[in-house]
Amino acid sequence: MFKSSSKKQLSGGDMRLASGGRINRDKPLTFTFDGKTYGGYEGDTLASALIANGVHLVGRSFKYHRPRGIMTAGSEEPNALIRLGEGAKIEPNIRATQIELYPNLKSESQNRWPSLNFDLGAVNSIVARMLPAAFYYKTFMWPASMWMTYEHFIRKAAGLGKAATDHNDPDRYEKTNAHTDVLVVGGGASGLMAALSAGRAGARVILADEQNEFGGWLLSESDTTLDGNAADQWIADAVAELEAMENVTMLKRTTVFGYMDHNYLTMMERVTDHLGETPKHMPRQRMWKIRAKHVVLAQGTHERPMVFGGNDRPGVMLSSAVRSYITRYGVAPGRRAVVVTNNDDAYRTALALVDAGVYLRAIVDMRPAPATPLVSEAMRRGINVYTSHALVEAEGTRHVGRAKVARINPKDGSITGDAFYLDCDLVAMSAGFTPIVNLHSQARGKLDWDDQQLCFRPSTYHEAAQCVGASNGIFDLADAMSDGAKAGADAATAAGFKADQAATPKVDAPGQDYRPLALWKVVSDANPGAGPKAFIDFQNDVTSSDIKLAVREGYHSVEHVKRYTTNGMATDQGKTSNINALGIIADELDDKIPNVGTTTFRMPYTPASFGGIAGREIKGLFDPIRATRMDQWHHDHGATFEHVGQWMRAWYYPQAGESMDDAVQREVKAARTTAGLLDASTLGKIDIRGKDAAEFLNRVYTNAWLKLPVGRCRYGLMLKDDGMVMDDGVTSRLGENHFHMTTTTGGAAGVLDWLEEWHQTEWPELEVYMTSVTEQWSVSTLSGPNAKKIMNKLGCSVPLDDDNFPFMSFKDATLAGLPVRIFRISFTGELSYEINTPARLGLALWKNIMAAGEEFGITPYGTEAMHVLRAEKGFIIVGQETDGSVTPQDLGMDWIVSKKKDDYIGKRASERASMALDNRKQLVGLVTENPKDIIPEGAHAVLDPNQPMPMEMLGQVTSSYYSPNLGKSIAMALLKGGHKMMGETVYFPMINGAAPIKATITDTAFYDPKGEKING
Amino acid sequence: MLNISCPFCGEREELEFSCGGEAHIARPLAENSITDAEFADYLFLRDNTKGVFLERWRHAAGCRRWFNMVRDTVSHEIIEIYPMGELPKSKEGIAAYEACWRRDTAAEAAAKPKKSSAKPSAKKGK
Amino acid sequence: MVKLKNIPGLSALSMAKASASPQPEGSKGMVVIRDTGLTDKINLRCQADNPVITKAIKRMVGADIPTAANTFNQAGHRSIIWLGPDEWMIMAENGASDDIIAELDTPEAGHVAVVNISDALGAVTIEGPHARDVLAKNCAIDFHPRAFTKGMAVQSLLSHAGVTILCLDDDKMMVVGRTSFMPYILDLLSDSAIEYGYDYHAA
Repeated sequence: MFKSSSKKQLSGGDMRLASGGRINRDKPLTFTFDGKTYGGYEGDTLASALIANGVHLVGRSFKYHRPRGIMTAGSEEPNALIRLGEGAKIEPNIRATQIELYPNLKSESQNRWPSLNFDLGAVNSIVARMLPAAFYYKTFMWPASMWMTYEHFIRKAAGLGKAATDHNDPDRYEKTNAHTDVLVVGGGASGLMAALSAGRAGARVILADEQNEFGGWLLSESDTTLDGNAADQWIADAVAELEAMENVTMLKRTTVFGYMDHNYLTMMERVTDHLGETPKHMPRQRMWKIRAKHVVLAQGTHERPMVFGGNDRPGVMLSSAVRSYITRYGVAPGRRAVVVTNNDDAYRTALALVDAGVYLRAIVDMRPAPATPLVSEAMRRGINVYTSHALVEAEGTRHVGRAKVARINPKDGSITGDAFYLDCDLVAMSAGFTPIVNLHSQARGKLDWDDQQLCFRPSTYHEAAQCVGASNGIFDLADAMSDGAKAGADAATAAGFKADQAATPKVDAPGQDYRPLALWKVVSDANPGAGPKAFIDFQNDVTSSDIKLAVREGYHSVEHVKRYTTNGMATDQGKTSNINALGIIADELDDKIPNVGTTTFRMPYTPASFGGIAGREIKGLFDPIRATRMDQWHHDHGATFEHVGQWMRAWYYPQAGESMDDAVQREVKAARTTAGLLDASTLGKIDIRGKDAAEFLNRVYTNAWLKLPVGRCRYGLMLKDDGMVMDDGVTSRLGENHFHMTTTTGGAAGVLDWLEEWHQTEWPELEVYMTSVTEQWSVSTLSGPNAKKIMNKLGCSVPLDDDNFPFMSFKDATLAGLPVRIFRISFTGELSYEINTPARLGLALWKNIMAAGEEFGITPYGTEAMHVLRAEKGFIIVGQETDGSVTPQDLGMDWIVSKKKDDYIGKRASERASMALDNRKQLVGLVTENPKDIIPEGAHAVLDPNQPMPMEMLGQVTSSYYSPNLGKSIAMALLKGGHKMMGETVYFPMINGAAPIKATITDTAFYDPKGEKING
Repeated sequence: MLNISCPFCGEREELEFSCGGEAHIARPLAENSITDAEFADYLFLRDNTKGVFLERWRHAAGCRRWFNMVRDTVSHEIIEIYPMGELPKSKEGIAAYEACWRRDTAAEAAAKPKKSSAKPSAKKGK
Repeated sequence: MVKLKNIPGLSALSMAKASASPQPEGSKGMVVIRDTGLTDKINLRCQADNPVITKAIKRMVGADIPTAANTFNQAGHRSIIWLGPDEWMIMAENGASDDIIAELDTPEAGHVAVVNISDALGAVTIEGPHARDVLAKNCAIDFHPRAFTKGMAVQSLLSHAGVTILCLDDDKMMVVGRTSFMPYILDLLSDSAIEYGYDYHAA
């Protein structure tokens, strides 16, 4: 029945069956694995194509570097993890069973060196007696100082595939949100039925399936008809009906990998992975974030491997996978097969093998006297069936060569007869089926042990969800389909639709007994502790001995055994290993599986790519960048920018040949000698309205606001209720019940939220409304002795003399013909105008001011110069001089704290005894002995630099600059008891052997302490 | 991720909201003098309840309004959502409110006005 | 008083240039994104039953003040959008705000806050059979035609930007965002629309 056995490798492989399968034999493809070129067909997976070419050895195991082959035909594959693609598109650890073949696919095996056939790491297998469970924990515990060294080698030796070294992933990734009435996870028989019920009712349905076509295991069953037709006919009809419904979204190649609270699920759609080349406009993958009213989980089952020595050898496969390769892919996984089982299902595989022309040596059945229709059929067909027999060891080197079989006592697994050998190149094993409850378990659903079918089944639900079909422990096809149909109708009904249960087709399938033999003991003829390795968790290289050892060492909780042995951890999440491990633990503890309990399955169900999780939130779209309306001008004039929150602000404007220091010094100097212009648009601005607006301000600021005249401005300090400084700014009274508040750039959103919180939650009786106007206004701050001349030259519509327009007042006016609101406030200590204009005119105003100021040498200055200018005046910056532990008193700003007000936010906390302690850190000025020494910000002060370490530290420098206007270095610092240390000397020890910097404590007002410059 | 029903905007994703921590922490009034230790109950101490918890939330990316929530921190079940300034009405919410140690503190007593003529304190939402 | 309408100003997206990506096979139609340019916006805070405001809105907008959550009412170029139990936004043509504010912000109206935020916000429209798909990529609101219908307006997050999204028609939405976020919002929408093909038209 095989295709001609001539060496036509590139036409689909020697092991390709002459007919059958869902592959497209008209579309041959070539691909490479470890540099060698092979042929396959469209519709193949990499796994089926490799098997078709007789390639079973596809990787080395994680810990022992044992040769490993393809074991499954689905996403539960623990062995065949492949490095796929080239260059920056390389992705490691992809399951060969999930890789759809595309033209010129390039793949490589992993975890082997120098080659897959000859791997030096396999020495671990020889010294395996020294690598028991938790070997790393035990061996590298001591000495602790060596851990970094050990870790280096462990990391190098461990870990699976290698990621791409080129980090510029060329692919696009999408992320999207969706809401649905019913999410059906799994498009097999029961999932399709659920979708039909819900879809026909008109509910919004999303049906997601991880495979390239809907149908699930039905696609692999050749012995089943639905309504008298082959199963795929029924699938095609159901899919066509669903696809025609506008309320149904059908998603193939889409894995639901996370199930979170309130029916929030995440899934990854592999949009173009199967094409090989991604069209430029298309994403490679798309992550979906779903909010579902109801979830139907139709994930199906995982077949359990049988635990025997050498069960990990290439050529040992799950029985259902063997059936799938034959039926779905038209591939024979071997030429001489042995089927080993403890249940009926493997008989269907045996029959499929015979039908495909594979020489079936025997069925080895552990059950004593199975008498079901399938067994009878096998006997009738002349298949050699050994009952009460077990497979003791699969022998071979890089491929199974023979199976060692012996008669057993099915009650206790003891060997009762002489072993004999069956030559074979394929072992199809089945130890029963486990409903896939991973998502149910992620969603905190509970499980009950089914003593007949030997599996955990969903019992209670935490979310609005229902497991159906095989994942609900219902293995009979007809029953599973009607279970799905009912759940779909129930889900639609719960979502508010009138729904009927879709009619189930007439199922004709082999009668099957779903009760496996309850025997967890590993059949072995070796002495305890010796003998070949029998694997439980293939991906993590955990053997039956490891589990037993863990139990012997006192780990009796299943969660402890899991972590001690790593069984069921990592990307595999115990898909094939969980129940086998529990059976062995129960045996060792002489207890029952339900008493041992089960571990919790974690996200993700199968690994999700970081690309998909990041989506488009990378590079320029990682975080918004906010710019002012004058941004382009700053760019055009060579500005360097700094991030202030999400804002990009002009930092300084270097001219040709200037260093940052040069530029900042020049800008600082200009602002004091002629005029400087700052883009201050980013300041937070809040419009405050209402008859209680003044009272509200009185409560949120430390100073008094009730009597501020209309037209005047006042500086305010806001505290948190713990008495610590939170924000500051100037607020102006626009009208009797109307204020314009400014906040720090970084504090803008937080302050508005703060005000709303207090208004809404504490003082709802106050009539006041707050509205953010931060971006309504562009702000150009003109500062310096020539500021007034420039204002006049611009035709300012209001007189600028101090009587008419005094310091700390504002005027609405026109300037250069533009409507403006001018605040006469100053953060530099110079005569200064903060000129606000509707933002659309911000750039026009800026350009006008620059043009008018040209004859005076007006200089644009950035945030760095602003920092120096305010430091020369000793003005604080919240967040630089403060850190959430600093009070107004600490800052020497008692003057702004009202003694008369009954209450304001932070008042009671300020009265705490601890707030009056002498040793609080207090803000002081510092002048260095050498005027050129600039103390690094953050440097710590000590009284005696020669004291032994650890030194007693007084506090730290918060701001430090060279002041060009004073011709010396200045700094501010928070020092313990600093206010009483005026004139004292402190030292700042430096690293790398540099001499400590010596400084004298001073007042913080370094420049123009009397404030004579404020009027120009 | 929670699905939260804003009392004004309806059901929205949790990412539109910000949690404001424990609810019903009444702020002592300035007219009532309490000790530093008593004030600390208001200022610093916060519950971290396993089970039914009363907490404040804000629809930060929506209508910006604050509201209260009765939530089971284990099951993440949202039992009740109720306006600022009011007390829970659900059985679980009432029980959690009454069982809270704050009910017996001087800090909470100090949040009530001294004089009977003062505004009713029932409006206190914090 | 200087009339803003008569002075050339910059909209939130004045610096953004026209851009496009071709419509690929499988797309149901191009996504068309347009800057709405300079339009006026007013933030209104008051009690929903304020009789003076209710009448003034009817007069100045031509539509009733919406009291149902997540809705807006429109009449010609003017509309009023529900933002909260005591908060609305009025959108109107460039230059209209002075007159509207004058009618709303009167002593008779009592406790109200009427604030011109024309320049604080920008807006783009997004049309085409994939407009909803583009929005859904960046926002967790349910944009299904059954759930998000003409006349609805929601405040939410478009990725990292706070926005108000209006359903103008089955295939036409408007995204309103803070001015400084508009370039980011445009980049986000354009990038999301590459899958379907798009055209961006500057104002």
